[in-house]
Amino acid sequence: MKPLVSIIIPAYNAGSFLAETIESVIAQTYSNWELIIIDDGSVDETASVVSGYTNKDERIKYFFQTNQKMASARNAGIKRARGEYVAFLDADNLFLPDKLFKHIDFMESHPECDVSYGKINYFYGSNKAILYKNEQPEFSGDIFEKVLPQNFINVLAVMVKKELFNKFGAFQEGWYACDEHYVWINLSYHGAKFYPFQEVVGLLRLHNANDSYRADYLIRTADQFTKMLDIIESWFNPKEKIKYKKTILSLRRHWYRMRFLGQLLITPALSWILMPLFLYYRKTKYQLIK
Amino acid sequence: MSCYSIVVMAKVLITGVAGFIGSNLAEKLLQNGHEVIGVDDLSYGILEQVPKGVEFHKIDIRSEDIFSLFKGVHTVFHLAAKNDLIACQENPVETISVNVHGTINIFEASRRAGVKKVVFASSSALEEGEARLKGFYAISKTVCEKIADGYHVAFGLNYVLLRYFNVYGPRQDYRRAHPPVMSALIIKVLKGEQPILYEGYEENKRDFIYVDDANDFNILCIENENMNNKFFRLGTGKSSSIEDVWNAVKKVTGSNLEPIIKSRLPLDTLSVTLADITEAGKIGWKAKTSLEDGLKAQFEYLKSEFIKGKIK
Repeated sequence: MKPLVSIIIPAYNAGSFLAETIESVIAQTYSNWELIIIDDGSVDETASVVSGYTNKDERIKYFFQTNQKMASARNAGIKRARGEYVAFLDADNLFLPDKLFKHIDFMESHPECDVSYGKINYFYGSNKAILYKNEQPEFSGDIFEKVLPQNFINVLAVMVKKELFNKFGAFQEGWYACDEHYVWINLSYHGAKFYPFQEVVGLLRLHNANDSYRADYLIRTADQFTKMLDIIESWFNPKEKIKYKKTILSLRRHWYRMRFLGQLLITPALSWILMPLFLYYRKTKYQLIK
Repeated sequence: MSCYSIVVMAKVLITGVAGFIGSNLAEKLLQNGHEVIGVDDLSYGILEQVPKGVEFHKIDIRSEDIFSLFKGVHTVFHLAAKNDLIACQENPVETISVNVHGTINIFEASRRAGVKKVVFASSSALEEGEARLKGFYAISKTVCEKIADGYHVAFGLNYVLLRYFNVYGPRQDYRRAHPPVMSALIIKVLKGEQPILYEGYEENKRDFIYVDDANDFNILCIENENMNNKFFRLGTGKSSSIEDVWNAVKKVTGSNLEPIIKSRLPLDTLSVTLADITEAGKIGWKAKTSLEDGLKAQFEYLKSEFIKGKIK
């Protein structure tokens, strides 16, 4: 018997994209999954879109909570998950048909792997004919030191052994940035082994409302990153404190500078010049796939 | 009285004063030395619940005769509404008439009389998802919130919108055809009958707030200018499952009855409500009463009603 995979979709006013997202799960070549949709207080047609599917497919489950933000919704999904593995899908993104098959295939043949991560592509709006990539570094095994300075793992690209969340916890509720990054840091610090593989498993939709395009993104991330470092430092034993002292200090300095830049971005006159440059810079990270 | 404490006594008007929250609020306001005018048409409200000291008027909130009562009033607490969700679904015309026409009439009366502020009882139903929002009760409350804002924009009348989560405590309306869960459970215990729980009772969670805590917030609205023209969620910021509630009821009543577990109703989805009380917290307010203490008070109330033979 192949293991059960729990797929978690947090949905907040996601009515316009959700059907396509759910279809991408139904189209999976691997069939032993359950889809847990956490409606995070939507006031649009999210519930009726979902009910069209829950009536037809018993593997799809719906749960409602008043709006408590993404991290809380994902945690609510993890709490309800019965699978041995957990995968995450946001309500406007898509799995490619072999996503689950490839992860399971990889993880079953690498039992030491706790978190597997593939690659993802990007598309704008609804135009899936033109795809973009955003090359990220890859590291295997104990990745704590690598993932501490920067998050190179997108939540869409992973599959995680569920027991890790039971042991070490999952998303930090009430955070407005770094919530995914924290999960990888937390799991890797506590001994989880991460392994990448060279297959594209999902498509991430870019639109103008993407969080990282907002002017206050840098400030929020800088503030949250600093708080995250406080938590991480509290885990360290004396030896680790010495070992990571420099890294932590340089990260604090880096985010201190980023926060300053963030301040400039929200200062009216300056933001008119800097914001387009900032957005241009962010867009250059996505390269067209020919 | 210490010379440092300044008691500002205001003339306030409560609609729905014979109801659950209204009667409790009137009592609290009278204790604080305010002058209370109470309005209720007694279609749901119970006259004997209106505390002594309230200047009571039996009148429909849709009536123009109500205007004269608003003279000299500082703050209006508009609580009167048709609010049994199932009854509202069965009678949409009456729901919109009482809740929407009634509310705009209260705002109009307030504007004409130069009332400083209208505190409007809205509902968490506006945040409980698509199905709830399409119900006539939520539709009526949505329009009412817009009316409040409309009167502010057009005439500068200040409002405070309070989205109540699940309020419980003494005088909770147990007479309804579909009584709220806490009253339903306690009444079963009083009658010595097995209470009924529905599958999912461990997972279904609600943010239950004790009526006194909600009314503490109401009273803050009178004085505090920073609350004007905003909406607040009134909950505790913590959710309790129906299982938690039943366990608390057992503890408070000393009952050892075993519940009957029935299968879930077809349209019932598993859900959690939880009030985001960040904004309410900024005012310096926090719900103080524990579930057990609140239930104790509600049990004492229902027990006395039961002894009086009022619970059929």
